[in-house]
Amino acid sequence: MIVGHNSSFTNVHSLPFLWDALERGAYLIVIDSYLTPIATKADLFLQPRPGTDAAMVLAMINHIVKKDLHDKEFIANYTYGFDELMKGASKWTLEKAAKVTGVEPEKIAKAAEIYATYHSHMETGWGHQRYTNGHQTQRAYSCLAAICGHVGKEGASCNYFELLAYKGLLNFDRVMYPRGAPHKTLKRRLINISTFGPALREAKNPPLKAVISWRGGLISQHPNVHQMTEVLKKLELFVSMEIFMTDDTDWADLVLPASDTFEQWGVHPSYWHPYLQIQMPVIKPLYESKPDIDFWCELGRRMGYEKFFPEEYTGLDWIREFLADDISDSTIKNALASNDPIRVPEKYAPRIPWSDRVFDTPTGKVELYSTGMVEKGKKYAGDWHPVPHFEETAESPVSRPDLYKKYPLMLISQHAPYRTHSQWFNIEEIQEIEGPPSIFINEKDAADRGIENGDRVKVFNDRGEISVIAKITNRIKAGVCEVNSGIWVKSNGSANVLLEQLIGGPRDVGAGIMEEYDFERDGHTIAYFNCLVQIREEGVHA
Amino acid sequence: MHNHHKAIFVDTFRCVGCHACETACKAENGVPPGPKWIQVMEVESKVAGEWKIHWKPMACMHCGSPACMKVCPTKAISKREEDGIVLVNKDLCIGCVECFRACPFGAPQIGEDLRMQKCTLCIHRTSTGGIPACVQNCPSEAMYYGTLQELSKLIRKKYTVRSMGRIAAVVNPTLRRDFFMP
Repeated sequence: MIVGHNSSFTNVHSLPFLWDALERGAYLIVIDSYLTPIATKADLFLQPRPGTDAAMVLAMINHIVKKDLHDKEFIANYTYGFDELMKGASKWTLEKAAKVTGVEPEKIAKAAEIYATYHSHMETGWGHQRYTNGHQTQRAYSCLAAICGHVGKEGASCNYFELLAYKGLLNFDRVMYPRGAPHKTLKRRLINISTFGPALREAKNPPLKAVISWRGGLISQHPNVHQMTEVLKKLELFVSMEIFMTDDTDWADLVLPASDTFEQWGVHPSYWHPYLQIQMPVIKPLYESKPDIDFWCELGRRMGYEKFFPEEYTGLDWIREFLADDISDSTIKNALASNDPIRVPEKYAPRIPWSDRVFDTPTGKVELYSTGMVEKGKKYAGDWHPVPHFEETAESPVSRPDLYKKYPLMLISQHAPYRTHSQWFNIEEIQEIEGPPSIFINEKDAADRGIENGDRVKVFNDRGEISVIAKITNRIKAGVCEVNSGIWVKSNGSANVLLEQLIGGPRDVGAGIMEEYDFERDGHTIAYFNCLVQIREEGVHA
Repeated sequence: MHNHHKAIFVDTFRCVGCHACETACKAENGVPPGPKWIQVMEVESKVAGEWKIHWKPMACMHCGSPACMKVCPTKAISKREEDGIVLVNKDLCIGCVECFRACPFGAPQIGEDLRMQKCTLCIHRTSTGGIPACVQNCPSEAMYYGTLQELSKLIRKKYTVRSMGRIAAVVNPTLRRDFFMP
């Protein structure tokens, strides 16, 4: 079962394994609001209204328990709070879920039965999480896996985001606090990545006066583009390190030519694979460009911290610092010399995660009722509901009928198929494949508006408008439209212009100025898919 | 065509329309934006009540009896005996686009020099034992290169694996799947 995860665009290296399994007779269920290439190969495809997955999953859980297909032994031994989970889930009948999600009740039942009955693996991505209720949706899916006992078994587990080998393998502290530098006692302030725009504006003590932006697109990747552009303009200094002239560089006071991947050292730990990859520079940095690490070290030295940033340190030396201490020199040498992949040590990236049934929770079990969230709820504001529940997203046809009247289409964005987010948007060879910025619009919605394939249309709401080419399709349901993420703002086709700054995660961080933050448990992504818009053919006035 | 002639086989069930073959081809052969020696085509259609998307990478088929070769007035197009590769001699091409009209697959491309260009089956790689760039770079392992004999064996093997998979699934009717054969 693949959920909100388009491996055909984001994890192409996993595809051959999937095809091998399907060819041998495996059954594929895909749940997505968008008919992805993976979904088109599925035996059973469930296409819920964006942001309503949790309702469907709770109905699945209810149906499985009613049919007595749940794994009672696993529930008794390795989960906590089954009764509390069922208190909420038992209210969700198939019919009720069908009404909310728009998926036929028979399909929901069939998916639930097949998933529960057979040795099933669940691969969850980000698609269903990019909503204000995304954390509860993800929790619901995890609970579904747990009540079926599909956790930590060979070929039957539940994977969310392969961060396993990031946590132990990478020694973030060593890079944040170079050898000899005062450790952790330093007072620090954190800025939430999801609310970078508001944080820049709101930070008072002291105010933020300068930003050095590096390996990122602040303007093209964040919602509410106009707000972000305004705060960047107000900065005393905005430095952008880039290999291309992007949206950011247009507003930067200083553009520093960055090295590309071929010119510098890099390390790639597990990303849906258990291998350690060390990237070697294959050419010298061209012209005035500098590897990123050289820039930061030079900046450190010029600020008077020579002893922490030794001049003779190369990118490879910093990689040695970055990797866990028990990664030996010979492992690194092998990673550099060999064409064969080097396996990350089992303890950092186990072949079958949780096969020991030890879970990193306060009770040591899979928490269907999350005591961890209850504790967090005492400390921070937000939706720390300990049992997964369904709530409409912040901007949906149901939660905002007033907006829905004016803007009757839900806008979602899938990952850009031919780019890395906004990177490479300007490459002519890629534009040739991708075509001009466009919007996928359902046949029916197009007909209602007199829009034909290839028409230039205006997509708008109270926050802004974009001008894109209409592509008529049935890969999304009526009432939904889709614009690829990462399109540059200056091309006038960026979905982010239309989005509100909303968070997908339990913790309400306000403007995002924080003292501490737990990436995994406070769980943040930007709720990119909560957006209502209207489409009109360009030149036609309402 | 002969058994020893070379071809590319695409298992369309595995193709997800990522266009990596197009990109690899352009990088390998130095083809600028414009002409496409291989192009991934996309069709949306309803199959048994469900919307599906189908992809098919289209390149020169290096036909057994090439329609383009027959209509070329200057005999600029030829087919190699040893591996069946169909090539165009740019020095002889006059850019009349007769080949473009004759080819049922839309393979001949016209570049800025107004001469025909198309897939050479990466002749510079394949004639020294290599495989075409598109095949090598397909992340989905949907493309295969070989002689007709080798490919026919491969297709049989694929068919066998899939039909065995189907037999396994038939044992349990809920897991029955419709097989999409290339």
